[in-house]
Amino acid sequence: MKHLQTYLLVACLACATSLKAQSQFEPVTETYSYADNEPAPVHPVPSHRQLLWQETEFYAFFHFGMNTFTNSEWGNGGEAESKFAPTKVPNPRQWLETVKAAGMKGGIAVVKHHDGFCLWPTATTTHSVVNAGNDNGRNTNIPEAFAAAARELDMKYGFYVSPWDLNSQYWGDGTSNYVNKVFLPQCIELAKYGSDQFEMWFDGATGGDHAGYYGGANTTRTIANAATYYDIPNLRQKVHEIAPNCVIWGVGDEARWIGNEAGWAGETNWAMGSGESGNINGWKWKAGESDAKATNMGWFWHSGESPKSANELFKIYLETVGRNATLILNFPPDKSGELPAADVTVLKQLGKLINDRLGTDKAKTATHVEASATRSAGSTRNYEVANLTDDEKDTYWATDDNTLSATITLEWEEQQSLYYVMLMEYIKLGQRVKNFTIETSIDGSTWTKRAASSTTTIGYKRIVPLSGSTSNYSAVKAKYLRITVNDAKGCPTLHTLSVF
Amino acid sequence: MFIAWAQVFTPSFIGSTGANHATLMAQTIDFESTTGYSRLGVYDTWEQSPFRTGAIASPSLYVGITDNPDTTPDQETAIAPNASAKVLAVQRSRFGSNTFGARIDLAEKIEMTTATRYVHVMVLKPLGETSNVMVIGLGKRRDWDDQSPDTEQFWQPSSGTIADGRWNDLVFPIATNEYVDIHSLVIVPDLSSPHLRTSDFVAYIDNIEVNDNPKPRIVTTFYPVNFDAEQAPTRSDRQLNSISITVSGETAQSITVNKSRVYNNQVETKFIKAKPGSKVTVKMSYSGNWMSGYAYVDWDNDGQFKPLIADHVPTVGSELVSYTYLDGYNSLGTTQANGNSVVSGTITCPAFKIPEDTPFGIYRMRLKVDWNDDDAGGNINANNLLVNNGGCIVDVLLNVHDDNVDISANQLNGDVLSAADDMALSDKRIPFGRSYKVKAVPAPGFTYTGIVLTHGYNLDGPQYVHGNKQFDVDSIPAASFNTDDEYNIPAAKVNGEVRIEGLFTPGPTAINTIEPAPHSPDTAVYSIDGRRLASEPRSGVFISQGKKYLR
Repeated sequence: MKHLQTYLLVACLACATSLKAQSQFEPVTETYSYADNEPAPVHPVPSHRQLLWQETEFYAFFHFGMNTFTNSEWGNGGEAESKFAPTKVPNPRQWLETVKAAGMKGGIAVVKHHDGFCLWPTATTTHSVVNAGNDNGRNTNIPEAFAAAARELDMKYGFYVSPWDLNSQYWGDGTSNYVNKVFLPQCIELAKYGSDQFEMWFDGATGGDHAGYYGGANTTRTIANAATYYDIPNLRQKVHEIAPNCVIWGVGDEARWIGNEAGWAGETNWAMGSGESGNINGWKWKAGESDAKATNMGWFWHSGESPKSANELFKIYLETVGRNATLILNFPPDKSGELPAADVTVLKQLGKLINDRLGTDKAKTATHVEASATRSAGSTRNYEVANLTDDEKDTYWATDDNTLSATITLEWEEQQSLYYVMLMEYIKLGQRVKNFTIETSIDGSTWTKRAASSTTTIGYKRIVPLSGSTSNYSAVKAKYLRITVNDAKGCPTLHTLSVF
Repeated sequence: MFIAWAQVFTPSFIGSTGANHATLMAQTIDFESTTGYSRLGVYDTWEQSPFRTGAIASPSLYVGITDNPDTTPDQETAIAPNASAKVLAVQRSRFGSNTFGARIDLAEKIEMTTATRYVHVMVLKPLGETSNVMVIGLGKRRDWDDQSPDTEQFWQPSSGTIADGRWNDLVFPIATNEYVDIHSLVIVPDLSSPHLRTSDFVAYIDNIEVNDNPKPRIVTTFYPVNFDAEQAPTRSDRQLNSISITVSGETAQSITVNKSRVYNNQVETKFIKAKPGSKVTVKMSYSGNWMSGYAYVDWDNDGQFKPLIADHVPTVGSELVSYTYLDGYNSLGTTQANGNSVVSGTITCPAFKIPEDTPFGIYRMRLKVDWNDDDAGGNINANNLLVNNGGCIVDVLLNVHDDNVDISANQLNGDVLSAADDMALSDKRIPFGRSYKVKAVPAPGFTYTGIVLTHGYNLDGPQYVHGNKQFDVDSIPAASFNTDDEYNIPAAKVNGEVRIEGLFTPGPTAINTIEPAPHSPDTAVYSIDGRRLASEPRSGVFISQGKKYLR
């Protein structure tokens, strides 16, 4: 029987006897080989934009807007535009410069919160900076200034735009007017501020019992299904058309909320599923992002607030970035449109702390690094253990297909004080490791397990404190370090091993 | 587990839920002809798929119309689940991703509205292939002329396990913005990673229908849940702790929850008692927020819970009887701001009434913690899966009873009478839920060895109906009777009709004085029929000093 040719055209079926239906389907015997003996992917795998997003790792959240001037966290949308009156023209460059000092690679600026006030001159509403209370406000265009500053500083950037809009008469009115006339056009306007955006952040709040202005209706409204109401699939497609590497967060389904706002992810954390731990069996790649406040009050700036200490923030860093999540850490600009001095100070301290503790990779000074198993090389690439320490994100160590457990052993000439082990999977081929062990030894024969209860998943990045605690900075003395992958969904593929 | 099949393509659906789910503008593709589709192919959401990059030379060869490989009738019903002559075959390539599937371009696009629609698909996979199936919708906004109709509009995985080696009738709810048209459907036969596969397999697809009916065309299981019945909770921040049910102000009946499972089937152990006309209030002790409570009763005992909601309240016959949140309202029709129904750690469902005309009997009752969903099996929206949201389902039995129940006794060679008045039981009715004392009276020359107590409902029918136990049969030995040959039927066994069969056998009157025998070697000992014995027997009955003993 003949196979049907390139798409079974119905018209042809009707008229051509040679294309009649088969009696029995004959499976194709065509084979396909992965180049260079690369392992087959363990699906799901991240898209290209999700990979780039994951590499951003640590970035800032800047909550600035009408709430900054009304001392609130959620407005009601009825605030007079004149209340937005910064004492200086807001300075996103100062925001980004400051967080860069802490090692952050980018930032997300809130450009419209639930109150609907837009920090750019939008064509969709007059409830924007165009009608601000002073020249500083009227000269504000956060998307434009933020994008420009990020490019100058070689940082990534994106925007938070609240789907929920307490100002709009259309929101939740039972029609599609809000989405068609306001929200989709706003997102497109924002996408056009830079095709190099890395993330668009959609808050999940959907009305409820919080009363809103809603164009003067002054009522409560809600919607049943955010994804369909906001037409997320087509919004996502439209934004990607303009900004191909812009991950749509939350309801956009390309990155997930980690499940809390306290700054921690699960020690077991899969890039699929939901919540702090994800789901090993999830069908879609949706890695976790942890949003946390770096200050002691709200997401927006409030008089009298102060930042958490550098040590507290470092712990958050370890428990998010170090647990296969990204960290978006909130530093709210004040009424002057700049980050307060106390924030600037603590961000510098945090940067120093991260650099001091995670800046010198002792894996690179190991005299001997050995793997118990290594995959056969392909014609143009190998999977040697040396790939773990070469600082190349596209090389990796791997085992043969049926080898799901293996050990990697490092030896130093002298005894070392070791604090952290950092592992990174080559997630382009999927997240694989289900369980691993870290051991240290003084003599190479007697081994002690470290952080034994927490070594389950790795993912994009895992930082394991050898002391077992993210709060204590205490060393383990060792001349040898052994990492054993005990179980994995497919042959393990690690691209980086660092020891600090 | 197989329970029952119904005919495919019946004019009305098995378990049809009535007017609120009336089938409108159904689109059907049965592959018997070319009707319904314009072309066939394969699709993969993975951007590096060799089926997208061109590395696979002839993707179109991976699908084709073929003979139905399985038209055999089911052994129990003698009905073929799918008797179609032709079906669509798709070769599950191990080089495609977990979302590789057969693409069916529709002859007529599906014009979506704000309502959820349902894609019904029959799928047959080889033995050993039990992974989930998915339906992907490709389409575009009808007001965006330049948009590609290949924009992915929804991904909807199947809920629960797929039976291998036989046709499955699956239902996928689909929802999009009202401006969207669906131009193609992709049926993904194997929503799992193929990296460990060493060969491909062929799956079969048939009878695709898009309509407004959420129920499968074939009933394959009763009281289904939309996840693995052994599923463990995946969240630690949300948890159902316990349930209490109050009936017309009486003392609350409590239900303990096994927290290690999302689904608690307690129908063998937990019975809620209520009379017709009584008001039932369900309270769920719940840790966490943002969840709502739902209560169902299978009034027609057909193995399904069918919600019938109109104007935001359950209509007559609705088997969703109470809820705290559904599309902005609770079951009283009161507007609710959102689905966060947890107040001080408790979800309180609005009271519902057992209809006055409810026949006495056993009914499956389901209590569910979920979010904004009337599906008794749990929310299957990918963004709000019951399991992911920390939901829970608990099944118990509801005993709708009268104030008094029938009691009767039938046996030969003796009688079982009311202990209170030595009257026959045949015409008696006794209070429900209260203990009742009966007396065994053997005919002369007979003794009794006990009784068989059958209690519950439908005592002449099958003991289980759709997994719901209708009655119990207990053997009560003579040793459970007192010295006056009386037995006190415990209150818990007076839970419906009580039917007694006395067990009488030839022999002397039963011994009902059982006392430990003192050691008395110097006392004359007799057998039960009066013969003098040399000594006390090592075992058995004997008489000493005028008393009967059992050793």
